[in-house]
Amino acid sequence: MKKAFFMLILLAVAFSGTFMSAEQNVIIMGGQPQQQQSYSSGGDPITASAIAAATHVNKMMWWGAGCLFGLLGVGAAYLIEPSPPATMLMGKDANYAAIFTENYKNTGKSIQTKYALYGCLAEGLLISLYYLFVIILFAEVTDDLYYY
Amino acid sequence: MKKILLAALILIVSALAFGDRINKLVAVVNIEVTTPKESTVSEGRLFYFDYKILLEVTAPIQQKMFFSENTLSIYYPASKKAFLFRSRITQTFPLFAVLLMTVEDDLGLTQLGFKLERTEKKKHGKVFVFVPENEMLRKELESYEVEIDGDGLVTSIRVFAKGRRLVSETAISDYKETGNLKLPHFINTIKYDAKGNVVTSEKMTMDSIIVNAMIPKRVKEFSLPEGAEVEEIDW
Repeated sequence: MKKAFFMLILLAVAFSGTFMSAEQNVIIMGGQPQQQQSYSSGGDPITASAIAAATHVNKMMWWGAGCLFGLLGVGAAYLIEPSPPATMLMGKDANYAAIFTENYKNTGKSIQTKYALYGCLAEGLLISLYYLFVIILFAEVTDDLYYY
Repeated sequence: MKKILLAALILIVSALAFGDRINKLVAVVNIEVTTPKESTVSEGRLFYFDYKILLEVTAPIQQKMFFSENTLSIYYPASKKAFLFRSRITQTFPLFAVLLMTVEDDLGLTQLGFKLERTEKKKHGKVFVFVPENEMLRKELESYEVEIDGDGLVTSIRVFAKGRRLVSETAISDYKETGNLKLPHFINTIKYDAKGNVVTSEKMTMDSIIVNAMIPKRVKEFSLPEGAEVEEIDW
């Protein structure tokens, strides 16, 4: 019984872990990349900000926050907005800066919230498994007493 | 969290480093930021005073970036548009903070809660390995490796996260006499993602550095002009 319980725990952790080890797909938000528009400083701010946010946001930390603090961690992930590195805005025009900032904020927040939620779900699953184990154990013990 | 800690670390070190050695500084800078998708080269002038930085970018676009405590202002004189970022953490300009760190014997790391774990001898100098004593820092960072050449000048700084994962490496070179100090005129920081791919490369070349220079009044009293369209963003 104990062996089965620990195997279920390992499965729960592995299940949550697959989300973290999955390919870090770039999330493009704020509409379609504006390939027609050219910016005086070159480059596409939506793609650049999405890549920057995907790289800079600490996914492990937010997964841990969700796992340890549950819905509070998820709430914090949604409210705390990540700040873009200043060097990414250097030499960029106002239009670029506005789009980059907005998309970086939204993308970063989305990633934070997603990983905090994964952590929260993993915590929930572990707790559920624990209670299931306790119930099964209790049932077995009472069965034994009954037969006595 | 890592970014917050690193930013706080860099700012505290820069404040400590700046202490009695450099109160004010003016320099002509050329900054190249390269990502896998694009490269941008900016030129301008940097002013440092009272723990604040004003970076007047003149090319490829006119831009003024002002770092002061918890705010970063970016002003575009041509369009009279500005962004005002208010952050929960102190705003810093990492490339410049590295320059300030080089004037401290141990980059100010000991005062920040790092301890020197060991020294490794290299062909042309030594590598000093600092590890965090603070438990919170230990969760994010494994070590700082500082390479110093035979002349006692810092030539590189490598930052490692848990599991000896290289987070960033900074090459520091082209030291020149500036006042009573020897300051680097070229700093190149490369940042890596969790898979070891280069995320950004930031190169700063400095020229005409003047330490403890007179700071123009317009710089000291910089503020966003009236009538500017300001977009305020709270982090």
